[in-house]
Amino acid sequence: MLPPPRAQDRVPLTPDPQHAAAIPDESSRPTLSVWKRQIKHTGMFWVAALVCVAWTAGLLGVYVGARIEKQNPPTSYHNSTSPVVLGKPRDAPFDSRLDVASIAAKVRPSVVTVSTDVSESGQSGEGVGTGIVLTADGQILTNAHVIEGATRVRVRLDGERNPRSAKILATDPGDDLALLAVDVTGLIPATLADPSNVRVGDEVLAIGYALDLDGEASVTLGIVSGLDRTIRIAAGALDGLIQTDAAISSGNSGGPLVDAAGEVVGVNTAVAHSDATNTATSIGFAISMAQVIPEIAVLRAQAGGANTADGFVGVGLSERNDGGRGAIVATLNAGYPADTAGIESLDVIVEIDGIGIDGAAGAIAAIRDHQPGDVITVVVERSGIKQSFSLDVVARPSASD
Amino acid sequence: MTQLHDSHGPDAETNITWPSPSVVVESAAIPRRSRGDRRNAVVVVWVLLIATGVVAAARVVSSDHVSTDNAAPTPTTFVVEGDRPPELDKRLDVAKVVSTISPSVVKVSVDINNADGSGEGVGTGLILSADGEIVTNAHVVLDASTVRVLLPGSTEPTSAKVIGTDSGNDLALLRVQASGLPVAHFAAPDSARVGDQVVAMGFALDLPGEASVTAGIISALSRTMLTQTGALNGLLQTDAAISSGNSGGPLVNAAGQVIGINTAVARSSAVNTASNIGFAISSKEIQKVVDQLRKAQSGSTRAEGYLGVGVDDRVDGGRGAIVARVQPGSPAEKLGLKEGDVVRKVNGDVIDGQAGLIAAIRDLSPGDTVTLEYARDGKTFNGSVTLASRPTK
Repeated sequence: MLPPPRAQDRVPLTPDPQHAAAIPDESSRPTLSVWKRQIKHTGMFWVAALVCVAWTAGLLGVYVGARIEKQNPPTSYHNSTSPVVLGKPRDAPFDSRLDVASIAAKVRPSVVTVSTDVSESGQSGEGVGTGIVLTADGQILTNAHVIEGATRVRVRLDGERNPRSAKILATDPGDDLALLAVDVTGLIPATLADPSNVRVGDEVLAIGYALDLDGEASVTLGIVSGLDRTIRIAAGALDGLIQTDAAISSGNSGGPLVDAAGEVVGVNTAVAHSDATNTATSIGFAISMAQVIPEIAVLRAQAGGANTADGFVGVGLSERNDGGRGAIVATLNAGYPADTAGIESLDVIVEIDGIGIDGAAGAIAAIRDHQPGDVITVVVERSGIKQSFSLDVVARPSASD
Repeated sequence: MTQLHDSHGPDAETNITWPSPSVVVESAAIPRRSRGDRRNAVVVVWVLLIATGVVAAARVVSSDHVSTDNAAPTPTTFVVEGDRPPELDKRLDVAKVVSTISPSVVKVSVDINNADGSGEGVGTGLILSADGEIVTNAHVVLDASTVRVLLPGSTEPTSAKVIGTDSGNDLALLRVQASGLPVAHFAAPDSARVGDQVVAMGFALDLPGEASVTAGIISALSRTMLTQTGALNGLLQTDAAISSGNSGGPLVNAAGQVIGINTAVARSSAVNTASNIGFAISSKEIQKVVDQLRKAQSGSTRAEGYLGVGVDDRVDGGRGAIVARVQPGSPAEKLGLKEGDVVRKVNGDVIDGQAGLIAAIRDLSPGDTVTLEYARDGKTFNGSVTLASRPTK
C-alpha cells in the first residue's frame, strides 16, 4: 500500500514534542509501497504490508512438490570474477519503440525464478521473486527483500523444470539488492544498460514471475513514467528509482525492466498500492543501473569479506506539506555531524552535493550512500536564506544504541 | 452505470483482489445482481490525492462560487488548435509530447478545512494564460482554505487565488501572480478518436520530483457519470494509468495538444474488477466552462437549466434514461412527460443513462428551449419546452 503520508510524518512548521518523537529518522519504518515478493504464509501474519499479497499466490501444490523433492546440497559456490556485461551509452537519438516478441525472446534466458523458505519471528512460509543472470558462471542479482529472512534459497533457470540450490553471496537491505550464486556454467548473462540511456517516455518491458503463474515469466509493456523517484523502505530509502506504468505484480521483484535494445535499465522492486483513500494505478518502481552497477561491485567486495557501512549524519527528517521541494530537519542527534556543523531544527534541506533534494527519502538515500569519512555539502534554507554546510559523514550507530 | 463516490466509500477490497489462497481467474462479465446492488458494481473516484486527516465522506458539495473582488483582467486567449493534426495518425512519441506539454503542467496543493477536520490535498493544474490563469478540477480546490501552485522548475510554491468554480462541471479557474508562463494548447473540439494514443501527466501520489507520465489510448468517447454535484458528460475514457494526484492534469494527444483534463478513475469493488479505466473532461467542455467562468468573473453568473424530472437508468441494455418522477408545475409536466417514459434524445443527441440526461439539461440555461425525443408504450414522441430556473432548496 502506498498510504498518504501519516499525520505524524508531517511536521507543522512549529512542531510540538509529540510530533518530534514520532518523526521518522534515517532508520524509520516504511511508509511507502509494497514489496513485490510473493509470500505464501503457513503461519498467520508476517509483515502487515505483505499480508494482502500473501494470499495471492496459491502455490501450495508447487511448494509441497518442491519440498518433497529432497535437494542435495551443491558441492561448491564461488564469487564470480567475470565482469558483468555492460551496454554502451548512446549518443545518437534512439528509437525507444520496442518489439516485444524479439526483446522478450532475447532477455528471457537471463531471467530466473528465485524461491525461498522464509522463517521469521516464529512464522514460516515461502516466497517467490525473480532474478537476473549476471555472469555465465552462476551469479544472480535479485532484491534483498526477496531473500530476506530466507532459510533456504532456490533458483530455477529458464528452460529448467527443477530449482537448484542457491547461496546468498551478499545482501544489502539498504539498497535492496542481493547477489546469489548457483553452481552452474554456460548461463546467458543479461546486458546492463548504460544509466544515461533512460529517458521519460521510453518504452520498457517488465519480465518476471508475476504471481508465480505456471509456465514462463510474464511480460508486460509500458513506458518510463518518471526518473529519480525516491521511496521509503524498511531499511531506509531507495533513490534514483525509475517509475514505470508497465504492470508490476507480486513476484516481479528482482526481475528486469528492459529497454528497446533488450538491455536491463532497472530491477523491478516495488509497486504503489491503492488504499481506502487514494488510488494508485500502474505505478511501479525499478532500481536504476546508476545504483545497480556500482552496488554489484560493493556486493562482490562484501562477498569477498569487505565491510561496508552506511553513512550517517544524525538528522530526523520530515516531508514538506506545502507542495514545495526539500526535506525538513525535524530532529538532530546531539553531537553528530549535522548538529556539530550547525544545522538546526526546521532547516529545509534543498541540496546535497549539488543534487536537488525533493523530499525526505531523497535526503536519506543521499546520506546513506556515503561511506564514513566522506565529506558532504548540504545546502539548507533557513528563513528563506540558503546556507551551505560541510558535514563529515560517520558510520551509522549500531541498532543497539 | 457509474457513480462518482467521494474517496471515502471505496473499500479496502482493492488491496485484496484474491481473497482466497488460490489465484481466482475472474470472469470479465459483470455478475448478475439485484437492482439495489447496481451502484456498487463499479466505484468511480476522483483522483485528488488526500494527504492527511480529512475524512473524505464529508467533503460535501459546496455551492458554486465566483470571486469578483480584485478580479484580474480577463485574458482573451484560449489557445485552441484547428483541425486534427497529422501526428495523431502516427505513432506517439512520448518524449516529444512530454517536452511540449510539461512546461504548462503545475502541481496544485491545498490545505483542506471542513467539518471533519483539516488536512492536505494534491492535484494537478494546467496553465491557460501567460499571466497566470490555471485550470484544475473543482474537487481539487473543494473546501480549500489555502491553494498553492508549484510552477515547473520552481522549488517554492506560489499562492493561488480561486477565480471561480463550477462544481457541476467539476472545473475551477485559479490565478497566480506571474507573467510569461508557457500556455497549454488545446486540441480542436471533437478531434479525438477512439484508439488515438494519449499521454497523461500529473502529480500521481505526489511522488517526489517531476510529474508522472503514463501512456495509453482513448478507450471511448462520450462517457457520462453522476457526481455528487451533478453529472459529467462528454467524458473521454482512457487506459492510460490515472492515480490519485492526477486530478486536473492534462490528457494529451500525439501532437502535444490537450484533449482532456483527468478527473476520475474506476476502482475495483468487492464484486467487479476495474483495470485502467480513467475519465477525462473533454477539451470542448473545458473551453465552454472556462469561458463561462471568465464571464462570471466579470459579474454574470451562469444558471443551470431545469426540466423537473427524476430519472433512472435503463436496466435492459438499451440507451436513454427512464423518467422516474415528474415535478408538478415543472417544464417536464408542461411537456407531458409521464413516469416510465424513456427519454432517448435531447436536442437530437442520444442520451446515455440518467447522468447523460442530467448533464445535458444542466449544461443548458433557463429560458432555453429544449427538444426531447421520448418513448412511451413502444411509441415515439417529440416535444419542445422552455427550461426553467433550478428551484432553490
